Amino acid sequence: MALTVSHLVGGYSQIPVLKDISFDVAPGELVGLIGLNGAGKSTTINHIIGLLTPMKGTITLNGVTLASDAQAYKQQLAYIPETPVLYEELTLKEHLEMTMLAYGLDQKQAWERAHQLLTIFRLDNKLDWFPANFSKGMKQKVMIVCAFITNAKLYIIDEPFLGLDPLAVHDLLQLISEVKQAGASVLMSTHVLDTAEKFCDRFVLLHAGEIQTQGTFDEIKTNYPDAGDSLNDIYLSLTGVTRNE
Amino acid sequence: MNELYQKRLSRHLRQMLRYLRLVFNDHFVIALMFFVGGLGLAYSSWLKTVTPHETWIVVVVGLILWLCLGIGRVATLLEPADVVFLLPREHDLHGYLVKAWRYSWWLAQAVQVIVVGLTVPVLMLVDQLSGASLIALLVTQLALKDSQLTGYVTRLYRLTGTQRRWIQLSNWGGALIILALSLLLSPWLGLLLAVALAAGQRWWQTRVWPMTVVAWRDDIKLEANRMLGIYRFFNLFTDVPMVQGTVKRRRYLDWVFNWVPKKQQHAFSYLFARGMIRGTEFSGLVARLTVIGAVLLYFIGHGWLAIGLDVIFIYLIGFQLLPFFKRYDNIVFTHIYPIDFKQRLKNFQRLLAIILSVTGIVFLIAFWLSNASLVQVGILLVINVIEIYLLVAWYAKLRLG
Repeated sequence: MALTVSHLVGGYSQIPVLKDISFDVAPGELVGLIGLNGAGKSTTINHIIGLLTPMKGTITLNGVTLASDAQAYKQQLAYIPETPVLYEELTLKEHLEMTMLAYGLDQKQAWERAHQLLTIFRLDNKLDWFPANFSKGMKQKVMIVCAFITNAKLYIIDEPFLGLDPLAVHDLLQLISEVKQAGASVLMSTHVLDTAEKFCDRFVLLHAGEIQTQGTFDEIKTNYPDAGDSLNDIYLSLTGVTRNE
Repeated sequence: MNELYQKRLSRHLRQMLRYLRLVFNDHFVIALMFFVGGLGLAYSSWLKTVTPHETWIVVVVGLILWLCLGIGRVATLLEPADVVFLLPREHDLHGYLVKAWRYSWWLAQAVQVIVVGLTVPVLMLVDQLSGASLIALLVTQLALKDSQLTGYVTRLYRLTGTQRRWIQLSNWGGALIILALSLLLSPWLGLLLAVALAAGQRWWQTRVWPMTVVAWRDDIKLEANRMLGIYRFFNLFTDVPMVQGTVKRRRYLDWVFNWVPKKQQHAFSYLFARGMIRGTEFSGLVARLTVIGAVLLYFIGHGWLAIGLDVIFIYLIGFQLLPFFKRYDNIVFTHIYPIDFKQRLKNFQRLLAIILSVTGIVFLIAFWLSNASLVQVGILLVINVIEIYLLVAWYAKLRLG
């Protein structure tokens, strides 16, 4: 397993938001992290990328944890945040260069890859611009390009589909399937369920800090035979369950 | 409406007071004492060299008085939401603006009194002005400022372009002519004209404002700019949330970045160097303090005072640069990049050392130009090296580590 989260208890303050969460992501697998607002998706992601420290439980990435070797752990990880965050003083070109430096990438190879990606996302003529002034969708594309030049083993993508134009969504899914084929794992949180249903290999459904269910779409459907035919229906019926509680 | 201004004013004053307390902290008071002392010393020693024949000085004084009329605007304290909420009571706004004018009047006139007071010794020496004419000059200056402030309020209303130009021309052009007459011909004539100008501005305002409307958008922008100026000043000394430094491309400085090694362990140097040079906030701080320090060092001579000043200025710059290290903390990638905290801190210390060294060299040159002997320059060099080392290697680590 590339990423293993086991018995994770954690949150921002003393009160745990996540209560004993365990799941894993295999190499070459795209796992969708699904849940309502406040279910704990972002908290889970923040724990995995190392912004939060687990209260209990462990997060292992190809055998290393943050505590055992932070650098080796972070080296394997690329993150695309939900809201694009950029360094105000760096141009697009410098954002890429900064990423290359930070991950210690070979500049020549990385630039080849970068030019490829920039062309796909139609950013290749904006290298000298400050992306801080871009539109939200374009900023998101910058985040995607920065993440995908890193050769990471695990990509963490937080709600990628909102704000991207349909063409970019298509290209992003294409990129994800490419890195999957190369053996990387992808963990993606999203609310856009029809897209998730089509492209994710497995799902982790979070609810109120606990894992409601996980598995492939077929497995989940067997677990909830009355919930409906699509992920959307299952998701809605799970929401209904909470309303009745 | 009257109450509204009072309420806003007291809130405004409370806020200013809070910032002033932060500005006049211990470090700054010491630096300020050096600053004022240095300037006073330079001024008084310059006065000794002045002889009554140098009439050009009178022209310079006149220009200084004229330019200083620009200090002090009207604190309207208008807020963006006022367009919506005060619009129905637009007619009553005039009372509000009169209040604003009155408050700002006292503040602005205090500054003018100080300005005139500072020029008095020169005028007595060169222009041989007597006591009564000095008072006439003071009142002239106050009347001119009065006229300016009245014009400021008039311009808060929607006027035609010609009207606006007339206000500005009569105030600035009139002030120039009146000051020239006062200083070169007769202070009493100047006084008469200045009072006439101030009265004229007031009379014209009462004629104009009922016929037009408030230029809300422009006024709010004007007030926001005025406040930004104040916040910028406070921001030199403390963090002001309302001021976020802007970013300038500064392409002409790109060559500096060639010196940053392109290696993984210098990744944050890459970021810090660009952030420092392109962000206006910290680079402006360094530039200002370096220039002020160098000028003071040049004027203050080459004794112990100068050495103390040098030490304090380097400390002030170094100390105020420390928050720059945390500038990128709210950007998630700063924590996600596979580079540990110690490395990031090392990169920052390197930047700090470079900046302080450049400042130190500028100070040494200023010190040397003020006729210090090479031995003294050498002593200061050693002091600077020790201070920078302590600041970078010990203090920065203590505060940030």
